[in-house]
Amino acid sequence: MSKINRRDFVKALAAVGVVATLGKISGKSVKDVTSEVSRKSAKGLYPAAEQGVRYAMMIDSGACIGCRTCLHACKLENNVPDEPSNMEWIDLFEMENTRPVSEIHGMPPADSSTDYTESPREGHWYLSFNCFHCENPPCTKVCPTGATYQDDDGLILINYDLCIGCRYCMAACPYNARQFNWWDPVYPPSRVSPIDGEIEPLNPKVPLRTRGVVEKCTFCAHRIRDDNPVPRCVEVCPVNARHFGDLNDSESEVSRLLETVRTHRIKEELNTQPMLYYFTRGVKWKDDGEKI
Amino acid sequence: MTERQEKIMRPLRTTSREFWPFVAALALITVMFIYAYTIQLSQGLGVTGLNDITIWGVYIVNFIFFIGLSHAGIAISAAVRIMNLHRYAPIARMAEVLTLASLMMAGLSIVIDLGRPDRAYLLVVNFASRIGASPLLWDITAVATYLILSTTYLYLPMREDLAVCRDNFTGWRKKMYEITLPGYEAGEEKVIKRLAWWMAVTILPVMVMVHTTVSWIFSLLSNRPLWFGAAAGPYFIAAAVASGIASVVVIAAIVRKLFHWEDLLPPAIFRGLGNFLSVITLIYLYLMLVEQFTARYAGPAGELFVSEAWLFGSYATLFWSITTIGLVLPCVYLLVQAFRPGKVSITGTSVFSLLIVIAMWFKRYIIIVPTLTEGGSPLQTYVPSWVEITILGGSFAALALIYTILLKLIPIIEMEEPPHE
Amino acid sequence: MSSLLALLMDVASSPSQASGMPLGHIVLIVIISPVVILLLATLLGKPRSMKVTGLFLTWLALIFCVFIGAVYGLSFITGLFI
Repeated sequence: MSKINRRDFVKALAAVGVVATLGKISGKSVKDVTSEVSRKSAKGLYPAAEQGVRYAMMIDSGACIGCRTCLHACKLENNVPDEPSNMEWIDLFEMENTRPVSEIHGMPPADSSTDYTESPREGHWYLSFNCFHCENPPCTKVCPTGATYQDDDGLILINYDLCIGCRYCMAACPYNARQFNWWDPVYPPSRVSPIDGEIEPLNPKVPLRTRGVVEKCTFCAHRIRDDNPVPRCVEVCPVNARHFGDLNDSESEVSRLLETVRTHRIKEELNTQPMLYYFTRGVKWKDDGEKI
Repeated sequence: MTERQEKIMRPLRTTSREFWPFVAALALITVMFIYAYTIQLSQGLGVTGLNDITIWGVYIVNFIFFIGLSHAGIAISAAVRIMNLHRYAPIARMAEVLTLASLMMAGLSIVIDLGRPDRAYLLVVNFASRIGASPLLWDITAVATYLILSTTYLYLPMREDLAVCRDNFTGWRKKMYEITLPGYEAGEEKVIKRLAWWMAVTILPVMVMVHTTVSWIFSLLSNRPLWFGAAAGPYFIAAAVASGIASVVVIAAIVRKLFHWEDLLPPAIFRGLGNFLSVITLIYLYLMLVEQFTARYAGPAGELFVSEAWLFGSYATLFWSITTIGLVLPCVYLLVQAFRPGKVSITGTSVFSLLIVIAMWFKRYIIIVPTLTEGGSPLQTYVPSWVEITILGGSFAALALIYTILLKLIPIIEMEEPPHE
Repeated sequence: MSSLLALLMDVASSPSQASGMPLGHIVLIVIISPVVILLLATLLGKPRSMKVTGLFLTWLALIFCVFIGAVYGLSFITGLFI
């Protein structure tokens, strides 16, 4: 056994120092580099992002009647498959008025059900969940291939061609906002809408997915970056419980709401800075469907 | 050729009657494993019991378990070379071969868990842009480094023994050994010994980083109760070293019996390993106690729910049976054996070591699954499907198959006489 | 003192902050440093032989290529079924 040569040791330290300096010289933050790479390769999947906007969604959980119109409209708009297993990008939970909502930091209690058949029910309120498009997303950090990334307008998107289906982003999401294609999704050319019975065709603006990749709400990137100001779920809500807009625009609905009503977000202590706010103005719902 | 060398080469020369049926059985299970995986490949991960809440299950548990087993190799080899514990030299190579085989199965387990394994190469392509952020890539880097170094560490000192084999065999075997010995000259042992010492010194921190990065995959997710935490590194490493060393004890006991190597693998080896196992298992039990205590005294809702599930809820039977029979009992037995001088029971040591190995697989299961099913909302259940069970069993069969084949091709004990103590 | 602190902050950033060295690069350095030390010890220590050094480096490179090849190979083979 030879003695540790002092010269060897110093040389080793020098080598490590060189590598470290090279790392610092590169300067760019990881967020910039990786998002750049992801955005380049995702060209064509979604329209280009607008610069200088910060999209946010606000949901009036007091007004929500749990009718699931948003859920079904989202499915039709985004080609979310019914077969071979039903997938939903929006979850609607039925919550009891008397139970605390913050059992697990604001998440629905563990025995909550999304399977309610009648709504609205006396003594209950309804909590709608979809991807929160966090400003400090835990999911995009952990992706090993850069498939999921944060775009310039704050949207968290997935490049379905890069996803290897490791589901690490699903493990990282505190809100269970992501869904996985456990089977080959079936995309029929048209479906009957559960809302109004009309025949709705497959939406050509939304990329189709394959088996083995993760998908989730995109805030309808294909709509809001094109000619539609709001996602489909916001458009169809019969009691106008959903609101959407650009927080950088002080005149937008969401900016004004943020100033006037008391909002809260789910699991704020995790520092994810979600862009989906919940509030209520104390009005339950109007039976005659009058907009609030 | 000395008597020792002759003894060590005997498995390479002769094959017992039981060998072929044994290999056939392993091969059959491996074929079933491949069949189950092709079913999964053609239909999708939906053939498992996994769902959008329980996103990880048997495959990830397998992955962690096999990485754990791989820690045996360098732990023992480092002890031999760096701390001059020459008593354990005879089992060093056995442990290193286990490292190689189990790292291969760990890599396979991860690929099996992917939804799109045909895109696994993207991990290499996008490595530079993602290595800054993704713990999964840190883990792959550490494991790859560990694999490359361990294989080299196995090969270089083995050249000396391969040369002895080359000189004592004829026909295809001689050719095989010749191919493995490019550029061999008799005096290279001195240089290789020094190199091997440095390798042992450097593989040790790499080994620590391997299981630290594996633990980081889970412990850096702030939203997951009983995953998130700072002590995950030591926790995982303790489990890994325990399961690794316990596996080596079992393997050593088996080959000792099979090949009549009673004097090559004296009882002192098993006593020493048993002593070490008793301490490391005790440390692991201590870490478990601290973790549960924290969750129960001041745990936020998520931590409490998962801890409830472990100790009194749906996972209680599993948890308590593996803790008592698989960890406490072996720990007590080995501690008693450590303090009692005189004869050591090799059978007893290896049986309790086997219990530790089995317990560690299920302990990993308890770490991974309840946090997913009970730690959030909504509640979920997870029942592994036949595909997962077959792949699980098949991965062990494949490991045993690889090991058995290697046993027949390379001398599994170092031929150099250990210095007398 | 404050410049030393600034240097430290530069190194120990978090993935969500826009400045400093990403945590993963630190991990990479920690993992690779022992390998660098090993390579230096191989090249500079005594007794050394060119043959063994060459053998060592060739073997490292070979296993590295086998590893990368295995990743691509597995991608290809599984791709036949999907």
